[in-house]
This record gives sequence, structure tokens and C-alpha cells, in this order.
Amino acid sequence: MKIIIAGAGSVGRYMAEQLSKFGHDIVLIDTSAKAVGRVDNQSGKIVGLVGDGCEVNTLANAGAKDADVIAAVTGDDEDNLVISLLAKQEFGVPRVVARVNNPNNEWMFNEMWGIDVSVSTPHLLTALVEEAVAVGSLVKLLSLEHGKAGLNEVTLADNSPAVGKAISELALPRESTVVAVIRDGHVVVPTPDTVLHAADEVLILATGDVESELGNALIGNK
Amino acid sequence: MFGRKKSASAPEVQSVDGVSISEAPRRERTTIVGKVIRMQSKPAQGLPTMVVSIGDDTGTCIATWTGRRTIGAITLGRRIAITGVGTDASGILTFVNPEYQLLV
Amino acid sequence: MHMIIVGCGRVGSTLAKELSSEGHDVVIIDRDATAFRRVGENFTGKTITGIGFDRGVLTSAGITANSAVMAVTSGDNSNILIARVARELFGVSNVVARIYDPRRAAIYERLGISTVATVAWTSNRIRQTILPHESEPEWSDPSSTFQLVERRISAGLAGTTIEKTEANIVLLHRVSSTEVPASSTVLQQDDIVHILATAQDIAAFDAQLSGAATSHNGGHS
Repeated sequence: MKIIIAGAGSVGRYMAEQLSKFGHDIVLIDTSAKAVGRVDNQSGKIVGLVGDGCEVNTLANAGAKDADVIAAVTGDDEDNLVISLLAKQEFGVPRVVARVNNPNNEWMFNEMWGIDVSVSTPHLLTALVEEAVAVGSLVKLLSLEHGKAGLNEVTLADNSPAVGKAISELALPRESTVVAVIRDGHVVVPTPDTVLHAADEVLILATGDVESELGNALIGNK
Repeated sequence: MFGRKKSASAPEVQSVDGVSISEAPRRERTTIVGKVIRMQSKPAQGLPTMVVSIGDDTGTCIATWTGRRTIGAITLGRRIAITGVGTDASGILTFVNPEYQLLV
Repeated sequence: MHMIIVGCGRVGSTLAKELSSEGHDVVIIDRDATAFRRVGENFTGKTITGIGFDRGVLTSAGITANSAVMAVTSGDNSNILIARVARELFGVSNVVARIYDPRRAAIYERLGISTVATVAWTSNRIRQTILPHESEPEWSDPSSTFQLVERRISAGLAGTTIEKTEANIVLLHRVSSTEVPASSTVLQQDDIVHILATAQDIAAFDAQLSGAATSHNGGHS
């Protein structure tokens, strides 16, 4: 795939290096030649471009017209929003991914600015910390499809109504499915007969607004 | 004393050069001419988006404007020209925030 | 009028002082509190230190749909963000953004945001955009009979041909081009037209603009 990465800071460079190892063609853009120069182009598939990703000409030179994905991952939210809008509006890039630096700005990172997926590191870190410490509460790890689907996680408490039940016996909402059960450090591929134990970490993919139903089935909310 | 010259010497703007929707290139700046056949004001996460379906003899495409609920005189049945970069990632040729020209 | 100016540089501070002295209710926002020295001690408006596209900051500035918002920071991107947040989240229709790069300006004008490029323009141009009816004409002939004024087409007047307005529209600016329009040209929302006419005829056009604006309820042909 052809991927444009705007922002050659440590995040952008890491992404360029990793994605190029998977065989993708990468164009890495930054206004700083030094930053672009720091990338490790072992794979030979990374092209560096010194320029401002917020300019249509720069994106055109980067081949935005043929790009499959653009990742706006500069350290500046304003730039990431503008780059995303231009990519969607002027070049029709099918998948636009943007980084949120300041969580206060997260509300803007959606279709209004041409963004398909936004990633907020502070938000993700918080969710992961919550996941690590919270037993018995539902944590949303990831939003997919413009927020229409979510990956949720619950570590079952001892008194969870799901303990001792098979997955098929749980009153899970229709628009949800258990995608994995992590038990003692192993992934258990869930079947309808899988019986849940206390301390199991259950991962559920759900569409729609089903948090309270999931809570009832797995936590025992009132 | 001074008469206002009629359209004779001024540029005529009613005929617009466009391609048919079925032949419109994807991901290249292009103009299509058609008629508004459907209007939708779609709030995405509470914020306004205007989605308009435009049809010609060969098919239908969509023009989306972010951040607005209405645009003056873009109404059902209006003849309109749309210029922008379209994609069909969603299955139908879609333009985001295109330039538009109202036609009589 | 309630006016919010974001960016207390040379243009922002000039606008703030002028508009405030004319009796408008002015709030000026800047990330850097030291910038407010430019408005001086006699400034009767309000100053707020903060980021202009932040929802909380705009709320504390008292933003309502009837406010006028001028985004005149030194950054094009910030100005566009401010303009869009004001318009889309707070419903403000009287918004102008200063864009340094004229190529970008054309792109943002497609979003329906009024933009002013910096090169040839000063705080006067921004003022003209925000307060078109309270500004001096661009030009008057020596006998002061004829004036050249600029107007922005409202949603209500969109769909009308120039002929039908009976106004002497000599120039039409739409998105990235300025042309001498044909009388059969259909006017569109956010078009900028230059009218050369007597004050009376201009007033008649202004009546059409505002009359159409109040009766507009989604468009008419």
C-alpha cells in the first residue's frame, strides 16, 4: 500500500520504519530536513519529503492522489486537522488517520475534518491503565468505524453474574460478540460453550450503544 | 442615457463542461452536471453535515458539505454543477466540500 | 454588536481598539497575555488569555450565534479552526478568517468561510467584511453620486440571477476567481459582489439582501 506519513517526529519515524518493513511504500513528510533525515531507511521503501503537509502542493508531491492511507501524526493538532481535511477533500484519500496531541481537541477529530480514525495517546494510555487496574468495570479500549463499533474489555470480578456461565448463557446484547477471553496469560478462543471464570479478561466487540446491557450481563449493574 | 448591455458581450455561464457521472474519473479534479435528487441534513456526532444526491442520465453521486446544514438555493430539483475530487470508497462517487455552481 | 477577536497582533489590536471605541462589545483572545499591551490601558473591552478554538475559552468570551468572530492570529491553521468552531459549534454566521496563503484561502472559501488574505489587506478589509453597512464605500466618484461597495450574498438571495436583482453588479468573486459576470449568472451564498450604483440603488439592493435573509427558510428559486 502507499502510505503518506505527515510528521517525522519519533512517532512518525517509528511508523515509517515499521510500515516499510511490512512492505508498504512510505512517503514521510516534515518541514525539518533534519527530522526526515533521521529515519532509518533500511528497507529502501521510505521516501523523505521536506515540506509542509498543510499545503496542497506538498501533498500532491507526496503522491496523495494515489495514496491509500495518510497518517497525520505531527505534534500539532491544528496541523493534523488541516492535513486530514486536505487529504480527504482535495485528494480523496480513502483512509485518514490522525493523532490527537491534546485530549481537549479530541472532539474535532472526526468526519468534520475528514478523519476516519483518530488516536489520542493520553486517552489510550488512560484506557489501558484503567484496563490494568479496574476489575469489574467495562473499559472501552478502541473505537472503530467512526465510533460505530467499539472494543470493550471487562475483567470479571468474583461476584460477576457471568462467572460459571457459558458464553451462550450470557444475556449479551444482539449487537455484540465475545472476541477473546484472556485467562492466566493465554488467549482462549471463545466458543458458545466456553465457561467463564473469575479474573477472566473478556474482550467484546460491540456496535451500537450497548454499554449498559453489557454491564448487566458481565458486571451485574442494576 | 447609458443602457446596461445584456449578456451578448459578457461571458455566458449557463453551459458547463462536465463529464457524466458514470465516466467521472476517481481521485482527479472533475466536474459533473446534474440535478439534486435527494437532500439530507445529517448530524454526525451532533455537528452538521449536508449530504446531497445528484443524478444525471448515467447515474448518481453524492456531494457532502461538512459543517453546514443548508446552502442557499441547493434544493430538490435544482440543476447544479459540482467540481471536486471524488472517490468511491463508500461504493458511490462522493465529493467532500466540492465547488458548486447553481444552474438555471 | 458582540465581537470576538482572536489574535492580539497588529491587526487584532487595531480592530479591537477601533470597534471598542465605536461602542461595540469587544472581547479579544490571545494565547500570550503580553500581547494585550497592544490594546493599551484605555481599552474598555475584555481580554482573555487562552486558545481561540477551545470551546471553553469561546464560551467564557460570551460567544452566541449573534456574535461576530474575527480570527486574526498569525497562523492560518488556527484561524481556520477558530472560524469552523465558531460557525459549526456555536452557530455564528458573521465569521472572518485571515489566511496568509492565498492558495489555502481558496480551499477554505469552499467551506463557506469568509477569508481575508493578508497581502493587500488590512484591518479595514476585515472590518468591511464584518460590518459591511457601516463601512466606507471602496470608491466614490468626484460628485459623490456613485459608490462602489462590496456585499456578501446571503442564503436567501442565492438562486436569483443578477438580472433579477436589478443591481449593477460589476464584479463577482466566488471561491478562487473574480470575474465580470453575465446578467444571467445565478448568485450563490457567500458570493462577494461589487456594486457600482447610487446610494439609493445600493440601499434597494441591501433591502433585497436582508429581506431575502429574513424570509429564507431553506431556499427558494
